[in-house]
Amino acid sequence: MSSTGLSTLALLVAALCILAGVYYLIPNIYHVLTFHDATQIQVKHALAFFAVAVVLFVGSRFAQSSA
Amino acid sequence: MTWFQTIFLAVLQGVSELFPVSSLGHTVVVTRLLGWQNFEANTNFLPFVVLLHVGTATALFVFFWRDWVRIIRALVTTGIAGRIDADPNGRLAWLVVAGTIPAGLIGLFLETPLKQLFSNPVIAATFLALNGLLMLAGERLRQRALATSGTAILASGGSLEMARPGQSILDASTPDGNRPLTSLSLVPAVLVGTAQSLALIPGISRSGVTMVAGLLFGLNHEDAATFGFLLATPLIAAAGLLEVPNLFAGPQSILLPALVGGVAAGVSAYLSVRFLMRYFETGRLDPFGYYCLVAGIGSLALILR
Repeated sequence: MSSTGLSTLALLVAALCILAGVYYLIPNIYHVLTFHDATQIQVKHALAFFAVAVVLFVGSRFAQSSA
Repeated sequence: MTWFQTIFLAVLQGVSELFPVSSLGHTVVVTRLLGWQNFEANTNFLPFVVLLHVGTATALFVFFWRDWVRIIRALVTTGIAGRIDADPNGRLAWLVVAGTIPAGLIGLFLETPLKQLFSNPVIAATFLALNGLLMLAGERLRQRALATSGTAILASGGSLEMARPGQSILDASTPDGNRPLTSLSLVPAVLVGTAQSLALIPGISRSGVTMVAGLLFGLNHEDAATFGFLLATPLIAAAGLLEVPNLFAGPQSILLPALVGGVAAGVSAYLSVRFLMRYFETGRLDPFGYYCLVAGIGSLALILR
Protein backbone atom coordinates (compact mmCIF):
# COMPACT_ATOMS: atom_id res chain seq x y z
CA MET A 1 0.00 0.00 0.00
CA SER A 2 1.26 3.49 -0.85
CA SER A 3 2.12 5.96 1.89
CA THR A 4 -0.79 8.20 0.90
CA GLY A 5 -3.19 5.23 1.04
CA LEU A 6 -1.82 4.20 4.42
CA SER A 7 -2.19 7.74 5.71
CA THR A 8 -5.81 7.94 4.52
CA LEU A 9 -6.61 4.53 6.03
CA ALA A 10 -5.12 5.60 9.38
CA LEU A 11 -7.27 8.76 9.33
CA LEU A 12 -10.41 6.75 8.52
CA VAL A 13 -9.78 4.30 11.36
CA ALA A 14 -9.00 7.24 13.67
CA ALA A 15 -12.40 8.75 12.79
CA LEU A 16 -14.08 5.40 13.56
CA CYS A 17 -12.25 5.25 16.90
CA ILE A 18 -13.54 8.75 17.79
CA LEU A 19 -17.08 7.59 16.94
CA ALA A 20 -16.59 4.47 19.07
CA GLY A 21 -15.29 6.61 21.94
CA VAL A 22 -18.33 8.92 21.72
CA TYR A 23 -20.61 5.84 21.60
CA TYR A 24 -19.24 4.64 24.95
CA LEU A 25 -19.92 8.09 26.46
CA ILE A 26 -23.64 8.05 25.60
CA PRO A 27 -25.65 7.08 28.69
CA ASN A 28 -28.74 4.84 28.81
CA ILE A 29 -27.95 2.81 25.70
CA TYR A 30 -26.57 -0.71 25.59
CA HIS A 31 -22.78 -0.77 25.16
CA VAL A 32 -21.30 -3.84 23.51
CA LEU A 33 -18.26 -5.60 25.00
CA THR A 34 -18.86 -4.35 28.52
CA PHE A 35 -19.26 -6.69 31.45
CA HIS A 36 -21.00 -4.62 34.10
CA ASP A 37 -23.49 -1.73 33.96
CA ALA A 38 -23.68 -2.01 30.16
CA THR A 39 -26.11 0.93 29.90
CA GLN A 40 -23.88 3.30 31.91
CA ILE A 41 -21.15 5.55 30.48
CA GLN A 42 -17.95 3.50 29.93
CA VAL A 43 -15.16 6.03 30.52
CA LYS A 44 -12.29 3.52 30.25
CA HIS A 45 -13.51 2.22 26.90
CA ALA A 46 -14.00 5.77 25.60
CA LEU A 47 -10.54 6.87 26.75
CA ALA A 48 -8.95 3.83 25.09
CA PHE A 49 -10.61 4.58 21.75
CA PHE A 50 -9.71 8.29 21.93
CA ALA A 51 -6.08 7.35 22.70
CA VAL A 52 -5.96 4.98 19.72
CA ALA A 53 -7.44 7.75 17.54
CA VAL A 54 -4.67 10.16 18.59
CA VAL A 55 -1.99 7.52 17.85
CA LEU A 56 -3.53 6.80 14.43
CA PHE A 57 -3.68 10.52 13.63
CA VAL A 58 0.03 10.89 14.44
CA GLY A 59 0.72 7.67 12.49
CA SER A 60 -1.04 9.12 9.44
CA ARG A 61 1.28 12.14 9.59
CA PHE A 62 4.30 9.81 9.74
CA ALA A 63 2.97 7.97 6.68
CA GLN A 64 2.41 11.29 4.86
CA SER A 65 5.94 12.46 5.62
CA SER A 66 7.43 9.29 4.14
CA ALA A 67 5.40 9.71 0.92
CA MET B 1 -6.91 -9.58 56.04
CA THR B 2 -4.11 -9.62 58.61
CA TRP B 3 -0.96 -7.48 58.42
CA PHE B 4 1.07 -10.60 57.64
CA GLN B 5 -1.23 -11.43 54.73
CA THR B 6 -1.06 -7.81 53.53
CA ILE B 7 2.73 -7.69 53.43
CA PHE B 8 3.05 -11.24 52.10
CA LEU B 9 0.64 -10.67 49.20
CA ALA B 10 2.17 -7.25 48.43
CA VAL B 11 5.71 -8.65 48.23
CA LEU B 12 4.43 -11.64 46.23
CA GLN B 13 2.77 -9.26 43.75
CA GLY B 14 5.79 -6.93 43.53
CA VAL B 15 8.22 -9.78 42.88
CA SER B 16 6.11 -12.11 40.73
CA GLU B 17 4.72 -9.29 38.53
CA LEU B 18 8.21 -8.63 37.17
CA PHE B 19 9.92 -12.01 37.48
CA PRO B 20 8.73 -14.18 34.56
CA VAL B 21 6.65 -16.39 36.84
CA SER B 22 3.08 -14.93 36.70
CA SER B 23 1.82 -12.81 39.59
CA LEU B 24 -1.82 -13.73 38.99
CA GLY B 25 -1.00 -17.44 38.85
CA HIS B 26 1.01 -17.21 42.08
CA THR B 27 -1.74 -15.26 43.85
CA VAL B 28 -4.41 -17.78 42.82
CA VAL B 29 -2.29 -20.85 43.63
CA VAL B 30 -0.52 -19.62 46.80
CA THR B 31 -3.70 -18.28 48.43
CA ARG B 32 -5.36 -21.66 47.79
CA LEU B 33 -2.38 -23.63 49.14
CA LEU B 34 -2.29 -21.45 52.29
CA GLY B 35 -6.03 -21.82 52.73
CA TRP B 36 -6.68 -18.07 52.29
CA GLN B 37 -9.52 -16.62 50.26
CA ASN B 38 -8.66 -15.38 46.75
CA PHE B 39 -8.23 -11.68 47.47
CA GLU B 40 -7.79 -10.77 43.77
CA ALA B 41 -11.35 -11.93 43.04
CA ASN B 42 -12.90 -10.14 46.03
CA THR B 43 -14.23 -6.69 45.04
CA ASN B 44 -13.98 -5.51 48.69
CA PHE B 45 -10.22 -5.63 48.30
CA LEU B 46 -10.19 -3.47 45.15
CA PRO B 47 -8.22 -0.64 46.86
CA PHE B 48 -5.58 -3.19 47.86
CA VAL B 49 -5.24 -4.53 44.30
CA VAL B 50 -5.24 -0.95 42.87
CA LEU B 51 -2.44 0.24 45.16
CA LEU B 52 -0.36 -2.89 44.53
CA HIS B 53 -0.47 -2.07 40.80
CA VAL B 54 0.28 1.61 41.41
CA GLY B 55 3.25 0.60 43.62
CA THR B 56 4.63 -1.78 40.98
CA ALA B 57 4.18 0.73 38.14
CA THR B 58 5.86 3.45 40.23
CA ALA B 59 8.85 1.16 40.81
CA LEU B 60 9.16 0.55 37.05
CA PHE B 61 8.89 4.28 36.29
CA VAL B 62 11.55 5.07 38.91
CA PHE B 63 13.95 2.39 37.65
CA PHE B 64 13.56 3.36 33.97
CA TRP B 65 13.01 7.09 34.56
CA ARG B 66 15.79 8.18 32.17
CA ASP B 67 14.30 6.01 29.41
CA TRP B 68 10.82 7.39 30.08
CA VAL B 69 12.04 10.98 29.93
CA ARG B 70 13.67 10.21 26.56
CA ILE B 71 10.58 8.34 25.33
CA ILE B 72 8.09 11.05 26.33
CA ARG B 73 10.33 13.80 24.92
CA ALA B 74 10.70 11.82 21.67
CA LEU B 75 6.93 11.24 21.47
CA VAL B 76 6.30 15.00 21.69
CA THR B 77 9.14 15.93 19.32
CA THR B 78 8.28 13.41 16.61
CA GLY B 79 4.54 13.94 17.06
CA ILE B 80 4.91 17.70 16.45
CA ALA B 81 7.43 17.23 13.64
CA GLY B 82 5.27 14.56 11.99
CA ARG B 83 8.44 12.61 11.18
CA ILE B 84 9.64 9.58 13.10
CA ASP B 85 13.27 10.18 12.15
CA ALA B 86 13.22 13.63 13.75
CA ASP B 87 14.55 12.10 16.98
CA PRO B 88 16.79 9.02 17.42
CA ASN B 89 14.62 7.87 20.33
CA GLY B 90 11.45 8.41 18.33
CA ARG B 91 11.48 4.91 16.89
CA LEU B 92 11.66 3.24 20.31
CA ALA B 93 9.00 5.59 21.67
CA TRP B 94 6.50 4.71 18.94
CA LEU B 95 7.36 1.01 19.15
CA VAL B 96 6.35 1.15 22.83
CA VAL B 97 3.10 2.93 21.91
CA ALA B 98 2.34 0.46 19.08
CA GLY B 99 3.11 -2.51 21.33
CA THR B 100 0.93 -1.20 24.15
CA ILE B 101 -2.25 -0.62 22.12
CA PRO B 102 -3.28 -4.24 21.30
CA ALA B 103 -2.61 -5.54 24.80
CA GLY B 104 -4.44 -2.53 26.28
CA LEU B 105 -7.53 -3.07 24.12
CA ILE B 106 -7.56 -6.85 24.65
CA GLY B 107 -7.18 -6.30 28.40
CA LEU B 108 -10.00 -3.75 28.42
CA PHE B 109 -12.42 -6.04 26.60
CA LEU B 110 -11.41 -9.49 27.81
CA GLU B 111 -9.90 -9.13 31.30
CA THR B 112 -13.16 -9.71 33.18
CA PRO B 113 -14.37 -12.80 31.26
CA LEU B 114 -10.88 -14.34 31.15
CA LYS B 115 -10.36 -13.87 34.88
CA GLN B 116 -13.79 -15.34 35.60
CA LEU B 117 -13.08 -18.26 33.28
CA PHE B 118 -9.57 -19.12 34.45
CA SER B 119 -9.38 -17.94 38.12
CA ASN B 120 -9.22 -21.47 39.39
CA PRO B 121 -6.18 -22.88 41.25
CA VAL B 122 -6.07 -26.04 39.13
CA ILE B 123 -6.15 -24.08 35.86
CA ALA B 124 -3.64 -21.52 37.20
CA ALA B 125 -1.21 -24.28 38.26
CA THR B 126 -1.57 -25.97 34.86
CA PHE B 127 -0.87 -22.72 33.02
CA LEU B 128 2.07 -22.04 35.37
CA ALA B 129 3.64 -25.31 34.21
CA LEU B 130 2.83 -24.41 30.58
CA ASN B 131 4.44 -21.01 31.15
CA GLY B 132 7.61 -22.86 32.17
CA LEU B 133 7.49 -25.01 29.04
CA LEU B 134 6.93 -21.90 26.91
CA MET B 135 10.06 -20.21 28.30
CA LEU B 136 12.18 -23.36 27.92
CA ALA B 137 10.94 -23.83 24.33
CA GLY B 138 11.58 -20.13 23.57
CA GLU B 139 15.18 -20.43 24.79
CA ARG B 140 15.76 -23.61 22.75
CA LEU B 141 14.37 -22.00 19.57
CA ARG B 142 16.52 -18.93 20.07
CA GLN B 143 19.69 -20.94 20.70
CA ARG B 144 18.97 -23.00 17.58
CA ALA B 145 18.42 -19.83 15.51
CA LEU B 146 21.64 -18.29 16.87
CA ALA B 147 23.60 -21.47 16.09
CA THR B 148 22.25 -21.47 12.51
CA SER B 149 23.04 -17.77 12.22
CA GLY B 150 26.62 -18.37 13.47
CA THR B 151 27.11 -21.16 10.93
CA ALA B 152 25.86 -18.90 8.14
CA ILE B 153 28.25 -16.14 9.20
CA LEU B 154 31.22 -18.53 9.26
CA ALA B 155 30.23 -19.93 5.85
CA SER B 156 30.16 -16.42 4.40
CA GLY B 157 33.70 -15.71 5.61
CA GLY B 158 32.59 -13.86 8.71
CA SER B 159 30.97 -10.91 6.97
CA LEU B 160 28.11 -9.28 8.85
CA GLU B 161 25.40 -7.26 7.18
CA MET B 162 22.94 -4.88 8.73
CA ALA B 163 19.52 -6.49 9.16
CA ARG B 164 16.50 -4.75 7.74
CA PRO B 165 13.81 -4.17 10.39
CA GLY B 166 11.31 -7.01 10.29
CA GLN B 167 13.80 -9.61 9.08
CA SER B 168 14.27 -12.81 11.03
CA ILE B 169 16.94 -13.47 13.63
CA LEU B 170 19.01 -15.19 10.94
CA ASP B 171 19.57 -11.77 9.36
CA ALA B 172 20.58 -10.08 12.61
CA SER B 173 23.44 -7.65 12.42
CA THR B 174 25.41 -7.68 15.66
CA PRO B 175 28.44 -9.94 16.14
CA ASP B 176 26.63 -12.02 18.78
CA GLY B 177 23.81 -12.66 16.29
CA ASN B 178 21.30 -10.43 18.09
CA ARG B 179 19.38 -7.47 16.80
CA PRO B 180 19.48 -4.06 18.54
CA LEU B 181 16.17 -3.03 20.12
CA THR B 182 15.91 0.11 17.99
CA SER B 183 16.03 -1.97 14.78
CA LEU B 184 12.80 -3.77 15.70
CA SER B 185 10.08 -2.91 13.19
CA LEU B 186 6.41 -2.13 13.75
CA VAL B 187 4.92 -5.60 13.21
CA PRO B 188 7.27 -7.47 15.62
CA ALA B 189 6.76 -4.71 18.21
CA VAL B 190 2.98 -5.08 17.92
CA LEU B 191 3.27 -8.88 18.16
CA VAL B 192 5.52 -8.67 21.24
CA GLY B 193 3.03 -6.25 22.77
CA THR B 194 0.08 -8.47 21.87
CA ALA B 195 1.82 -11.43 23.52
CA GLN B 196 1.36 -9.56 26.81
CA SER B 197 -2.37 -10.25 26.63
CA LEU B 198 -1.70 -13.94 27.30
CA ALA B 199 -0.84 -12.82 30.84
CA LEU B 200 -4.56 -12.24 31.42
CA ILE B 201 -4.64 -16.01 31.94
CA PRO B 202 -3.51 -16.79 35.52
CA GLY B 203 -0.27 -18.76 35.31
CA ILE B 204 1.05 -17.11 32.15
CA SER B 205 3.68 -14.49 32.90
CA ARG B 206 3.57 -11.08 31.20
CA SER B 207 7.35 -10.58 31.33
CA GLY B 208 7.92 -14.24 30.36
CA VAL B 209 5.83 -14.18 27.17
CA THR B 210 7.08 -10.75 26.07
CA MET B 211 10.68 -11.87 26.61
CA VAL B 212 10.14 -15.08 24.65
CA ALA B 213 8.51 -13.10 21.83
CA GLY B 214 11.36 -10.56 21.89
CA LEU B 215 13.99 -13.31 21.81
CA LEU B 216 12.26 -14.98 18.87
CA PHE B 217 12.40 -11.66 16.98
CA GLY B 218 16.15 -11.56 17.54
CA LEU B 219 16.57 -9.35 20.61
CA ASN B 220 19.08 -10.32 23.30
CA HIS B 221 17.86 -11.05 26.84
CA GLU B 222 18.64 -7.58 28.19
CA ASP B 223 16.85 -5.76 25.35
CA ALA B 224 13.93 -8.20 25.44
CA ALA B 225 13.57 -7.61 29.19
CA THR B 226 13.89 -3.81 28.80
CA PHE B 227 11.28 -3.72 26.01
CA GLY B 228 8.99 -6.03 28.03
CA PHE B 229 9.22 -3.77 31.10
CA LEU B 230 8.68 -0.62 29.02
CA LEU B 231 5.60 -2.22 27.44
CA ALA B 232 4.29 -3.41 30.80
CA THR B 233 4.63 -0.08 32.63
CA PRO B 234 1.74 1.85 30.99
CA LEU B 235 -0.56 -1.17 31.29
CA ILE B 236 0.21 -1.87 34.96
CA ALA B 237 -0.09 1.88 35.69
CA ALA B 238 -3.40 2.07 33.81
CA ALA B 239 -4.72 -1.01 35.63
CA GLY B 240 -4.10 0.85 38.89
CA LEU B 241 -4.71 4.51 38.05
CA LEU B 242 -7.98 3.99 36.14
CA GLU B 243 -9.40 2.35 39.27
CA VAL B 244 -8.28 5.15 41.64
CA PRO B 245 -11.74 6.80 41.52
CA ASN B 246 -13.12 3.53 42.95
CA LEU B 247 -10.51 3.52 45.70
CA PHE B 248 -12.96 4.80 48.29
CA ALA B 249 -15.89 2.66 47.15
CA GLY B 250 -14.91 -0.31 49.32
CA PRO B 251 -14.62 -0.50 53.11
CA GLN B 252 -12.45 2.35 54.47
CA SER B 253 -10.69 -0.02 56.87
CA ILE B 254 -8.78 -1.54 53.94
CA LEU B 255 -7.20 1.81 52.92
CA LEU B 256 -4.27 1.84 55.36
CA PRO B 257 -3.29 -1.80 54.74
CA ALA B 258 -3.70 -1.10 50.99
CA LEU B 259 -1.33 1.87 51.24
CA VAL B 260 1.25 -0.16 53.17
CA GLY B 261 0.80 -3.00 50.65
CA GLY B 262 1.35 -0.58 47.76
CA VAL B 263 4.63 0.63 49.29
CA ALA B 264 5.77 -2.96 49.98
CA ALA B 265 4.89 -3.99 46.41
CA GLY B 266 6.74 -0.96 45.04
CA VAL B 267 9.90 -1.64 47.05
CA SER B 268 9.93 -5.35 46.16
CA ALA B 269 9.21 -4.55 42.49
CA TYR B 270 12.10 -2.05 42.40
CA LEU B 271 14.52 -4.59 43.90
CA SER B 272 13.20 -7.25 41.48
CA VAL B 273 13.64 -5.14 38.34
CA ARG B 274 17.13 -4.10 39.51
CA PHE B 275 18.09 -7.73 40.02
CA LEU B 276 16.51 -8.88 36.73
CA MET B 277 18.18 -6.22 34.57
CA ARG B 278 21.58 -7.25 35.99
CA TYR B 279 20.72 -10.94 35.66
CA PHE B 280 19.66 -10.66 32.00
CA GLU B 281 22.97 -9.02 31.01
CA THR B 282 24.25 -12.61 30.86
CA GLY B 283 21.49 -14.86 32.24
CA ARG B 284 18.79 -16.78 30.42
CA LEU B 285 15.13 -17.69 30.98
CA ASP B 286 15.83 -21.39 31.69
CA PRO B 287 15.94 -21.19 35.53
CA PHE B 288 12.55 -19.46 35.56
CA GLY B 289 11.22 -22.01 33.08
CA TYR B 290 12.29 -24.90 35.29
CA TYR B 291 10.91 -23.13 38.39
CA CYS B 292 7.47 -22.60 36.77
CA LEU B 293 7.39 -26.19 35.55
CA VAL B 294 8.20 -27.60 39.00
CA ALA B 295 6.00 -25.08 40.86
CA GLY B 296 3.08 -25.71 38.49
CA ILE B 297 3.24 -29.50 38.65
CA GLY B 298 3.97 -29.45 42.41
CA SER B 299 1.04 -27.12 43.12
CA LEU B 300 -1.22 -29.24 40.94
CA ALA B 301 -0.25 -32.34 42.92
CA LEU B 302 -0.86 -30.55 46.26
CA ILE B 303 -4.23 -29.12 45.18
CA LEU B 304 -5.53 -32.40 43.70
CA ARG B 305 -4.33 -34.77 46.45
